[in-house]
Amino acid sequence: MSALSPELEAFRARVVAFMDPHVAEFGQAARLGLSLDDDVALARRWQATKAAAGFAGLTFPVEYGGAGLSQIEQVLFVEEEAARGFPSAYFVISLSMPIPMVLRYATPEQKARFVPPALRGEQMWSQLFSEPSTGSDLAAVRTRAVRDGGDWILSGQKVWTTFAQYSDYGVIVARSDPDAPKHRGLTYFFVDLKAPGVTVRPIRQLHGAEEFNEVFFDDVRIPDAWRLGEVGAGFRLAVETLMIERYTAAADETGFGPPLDALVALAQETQLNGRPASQDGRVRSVIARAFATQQALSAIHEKSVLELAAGREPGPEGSIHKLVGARGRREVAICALDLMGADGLRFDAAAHLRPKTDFAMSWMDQPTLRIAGGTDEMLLNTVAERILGLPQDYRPDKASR
Amino acid sequence: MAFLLDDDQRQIVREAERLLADNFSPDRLRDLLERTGSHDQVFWTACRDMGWTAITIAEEYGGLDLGPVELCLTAQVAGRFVAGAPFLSTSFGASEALRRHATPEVRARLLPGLAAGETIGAVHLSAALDADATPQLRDGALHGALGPVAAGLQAGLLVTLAHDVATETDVMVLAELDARTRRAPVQTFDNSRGYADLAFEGAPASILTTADARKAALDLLAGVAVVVAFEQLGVAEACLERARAFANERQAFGQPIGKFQAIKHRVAEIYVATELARGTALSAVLALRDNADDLVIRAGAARLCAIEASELAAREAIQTHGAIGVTWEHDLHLYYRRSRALALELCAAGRWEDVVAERLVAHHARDLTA
Repeated sequence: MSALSPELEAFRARVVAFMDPHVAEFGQAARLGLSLDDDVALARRWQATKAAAGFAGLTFPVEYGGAGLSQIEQVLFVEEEAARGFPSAYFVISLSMPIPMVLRYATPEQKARFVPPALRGEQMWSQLFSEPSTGSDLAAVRTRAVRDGGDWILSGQKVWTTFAQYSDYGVIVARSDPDAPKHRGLTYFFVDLKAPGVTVRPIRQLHGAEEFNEVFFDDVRIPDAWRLGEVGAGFRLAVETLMIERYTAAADETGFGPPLDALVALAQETQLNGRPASQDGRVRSVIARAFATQQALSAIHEKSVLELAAGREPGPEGSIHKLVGARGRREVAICALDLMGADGLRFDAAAHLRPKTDFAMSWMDQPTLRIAGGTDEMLLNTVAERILGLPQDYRPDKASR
Repeated sequence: MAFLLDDDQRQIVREAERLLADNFSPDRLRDLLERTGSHDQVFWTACRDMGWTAITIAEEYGGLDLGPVELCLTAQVAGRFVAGAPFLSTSFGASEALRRHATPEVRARLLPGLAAGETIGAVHLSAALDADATPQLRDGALHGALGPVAAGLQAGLLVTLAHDVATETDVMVLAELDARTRRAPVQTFDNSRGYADLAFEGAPASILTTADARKAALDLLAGVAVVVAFEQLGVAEACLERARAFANERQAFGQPIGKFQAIKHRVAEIYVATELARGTALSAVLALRDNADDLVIRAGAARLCAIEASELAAREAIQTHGAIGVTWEHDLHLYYRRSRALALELCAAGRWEDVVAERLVAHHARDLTA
């Protein structure tokens, strides 16, 4: 009724045997104190190591350097990766959005050219959808794509582009027909981010680090062969990109914050009203409820794994993970900082790479977590509309359709 | 820990849904609210006819020898229809105590009655979580008082903690409730639960366990809490469905109210809480099925999420309905009452927060010394 098949357990054992010798070089401890540049460089080496061992692109076709396995193996692999703190996050976007779209829509020659280097970590890809005036409202993009013979000329600006400063290519959606209704005037391309006319400008976030970017396109020329899908199909392909991995491995139940153990330890070391804070009802409430939430997310994740293993689509409840995890992070981080009192003020700006080990950085990063990858409000809309079948919001932008 | 339902389990759920939907009478439940000490006999007869009273009991005692998973799935469906009696979970507490602690002779004498639903069981185990004085056990007879006890009015068997005068220790006892126990019905806001204050005037009682009675009682309480967590999950699901349906149907300002984010986000939040409750409940019932060492902490997590989900769902479903939701004729107050009753019946949330936190702290302390 519950256990994974012997084949999957054997696969997991192979993964563990592969990963364990690499912990010293790539694990959480090895990454402490690295700059973002150095951590990304380490991540490239880890990606290359995985590729050499046949563990990169587990779900991708073998002919393009993948392993030809299914999503369940991918989920198990990511669980083990996360457990060791390996630097895999930098390639998540690259390999779960742009590259799968290349695999679906590009020519065989293009796939052979672009997919293997991406799997080896030699090239990174970005997703260029959001613009200054359009975040959640994807169809409102203004970046223009104008036909010029066999080419297109791109001009405009994208923003919130994660790790664009390290990226070589990206997938982009631009307005090819300004006269068509909003959702039908878009076309989808891939683009060389090192080409003339492309300017990448990192954005400094509230915690001081630079993970997002503005990307400017000043008359950037791309061949029509780099168009993916039909002219005018850009909105559909953009949504498809966001839907590719409906179930991404959510192996981190702490909402990406420090483990609950760290709060428990702090509560035992800290005196509150003449006794350990771990005996204070308010603190115990936070600890107990965070544990309960983690249990729930963990059970939801495991159920999804079992569904995948049974060849079924996971239930939609996995979509609440980020919403709930981000809330849990806030409660745990604030409780921990409160226990530290004025010591909680101490802040290491270089800790932005490790919000999982640093409560102040975890708290600092929490507002970003509520917004990045779909705001809390959009996630609730999605739950209400897609899962519960409630009607869409009032949408005057769709009135003309 | 997680699992997927197999075909047999899905069949159990379908049958329970069909039967309870056919027998569901909110009017009858409303009527019970105005009478102290009654329960829904139609519901209970259905439970007995379907063999739900026998689910977890071994075949040799007239049971079906299925596991707690099947009982919990049934309890979940019962929760959706505001079960008109508490006996599925309270009798489970009694039969489970017998299974774990009684001699074969006692099991053979008492389990068949529980399996057939002829005997109703009750538990009162809150003393496992605090140091309250317990009834006294003297010469095989119980003295003192307890209450309110769910199913206390109807129960023939009660499992509770008592102070054994002979050994001056706390023990877990099985009391047979006959004329030597006075039962006073208690008027509450959820009257179909058979709540009663019990006064023991020499009720015959036998010791189930002396060794670490408090731990045994907590383990038992945790098991019952898992079953009740599924009932609470059912309450949350029913309220979610009603809020969802109303938000789709009800028109205001020229559109369904579900189009307004203030409404749709509220309904979505009920879904989120309900899924968290489902996740922890599934995890806990596996611990119960497997006699896992971490049953208590998993049950605690399930209880916290189940209380949260059922209460949030009931109150926000009412809010979604507006004024019709606060009328006597509307069904939602049945769920509202039930959500609070179940939150109080098996020790309130704060106690369970302590249970969970204490275990995490102790676990951490062990890691430090290891």
